[in-house]
Amino acid sequence: MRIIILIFLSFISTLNCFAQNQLESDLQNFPLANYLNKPIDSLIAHLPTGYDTLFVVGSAGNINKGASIQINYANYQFWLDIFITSPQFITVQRDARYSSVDTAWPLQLLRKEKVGRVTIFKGDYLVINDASVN
Amino acid sequence: MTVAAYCATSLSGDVAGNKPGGSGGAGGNSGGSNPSCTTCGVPPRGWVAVDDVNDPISPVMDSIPGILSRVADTQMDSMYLKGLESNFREHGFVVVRKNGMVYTKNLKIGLQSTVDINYTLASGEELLAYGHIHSEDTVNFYRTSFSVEDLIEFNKNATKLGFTAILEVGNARYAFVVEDLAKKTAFNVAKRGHKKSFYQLLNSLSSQYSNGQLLTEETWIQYLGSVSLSGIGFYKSTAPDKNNFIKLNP
Repeated sequence: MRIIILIFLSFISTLNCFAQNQLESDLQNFPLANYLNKPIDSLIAHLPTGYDTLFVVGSAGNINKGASIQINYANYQFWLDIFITSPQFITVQRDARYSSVDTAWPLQLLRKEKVGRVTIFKGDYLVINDASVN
Repeated sequence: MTVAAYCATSLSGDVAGNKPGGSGGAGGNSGGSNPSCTTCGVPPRGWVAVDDVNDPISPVMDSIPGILSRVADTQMDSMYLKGLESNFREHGFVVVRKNGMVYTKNLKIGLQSTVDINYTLASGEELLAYGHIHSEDTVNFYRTSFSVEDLIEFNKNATKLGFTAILEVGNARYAFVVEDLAKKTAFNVAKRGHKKSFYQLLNSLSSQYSNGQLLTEETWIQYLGSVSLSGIGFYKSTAPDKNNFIKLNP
């Protein structure tokens, strides 16, 4: 019985490893450049599945000037940081008073903005894929 | 320090944490191209073109951010003023070493709030640092310290001891320095993505600091903790001598 359990666990582990390798390969080969200057939502719609849909809104450059989106895969095995081109939907902050990034830049509006730069990371900030308009 | 740096320093407003209430400082002149310089005794100058590769200097015994700040002194002050004129655009550059000489190169103009650093190196050049500016006036902004995205940019090349990120904010400069590679890697892996945990801390501290520069500074001190935890040294220099850095985290 113990041997069967060990074989089963080994099988599951192998499957997980294969899935992670496949995901890494998919992300490495993902044609990021095709989504530059296109809405962030169009990029999200074509990403390999498995990402956390609770996207993390961040700033760009500093806490008052612009927004970015981070998309994370399970347990931060991989993650994308997306920066936008000139904002069309969100309001770039011109106010010294600090407000949280989620308040400053509503996610639904941010997702409509166009992709200016996108980078995919893993581990200790190893870049596995990136693209930029400049 | 160069003449340009002295002049820009005198235009840069108050020292860290003090938000000018009047028209003093570069903030009061954010829309002008050639703000007056009345205290430094040299002709006023706003943006001045600088060679992409300035005259290299021989490194002296100094702190790592001190050396790199001195090498990029003129560029950072000039880029800061230029950024104020061009809708707060960020600018970036790299600092390299070749044959014992240290110099800046790859000056690049960024987007409104972010800059894509050009890391292209020539044969024999070693990357020492990347630098950029936060061109914020003191009327609408607080000249904030590094963003969490800046730490991510730093981490892309933070694979050697001493690798540095340097930031110009007008009245101060900040630096991240890799001081323990193993600890830095462990810290990054533990906080993968960084943004979520960083913003949680930033939000929790926001009620204690009305000044954005102090808010971001304190957030970094707490977020990084000691070098024995994060492997990253966090430094700051303030006007008038922005090449004299002190370490902020233990």
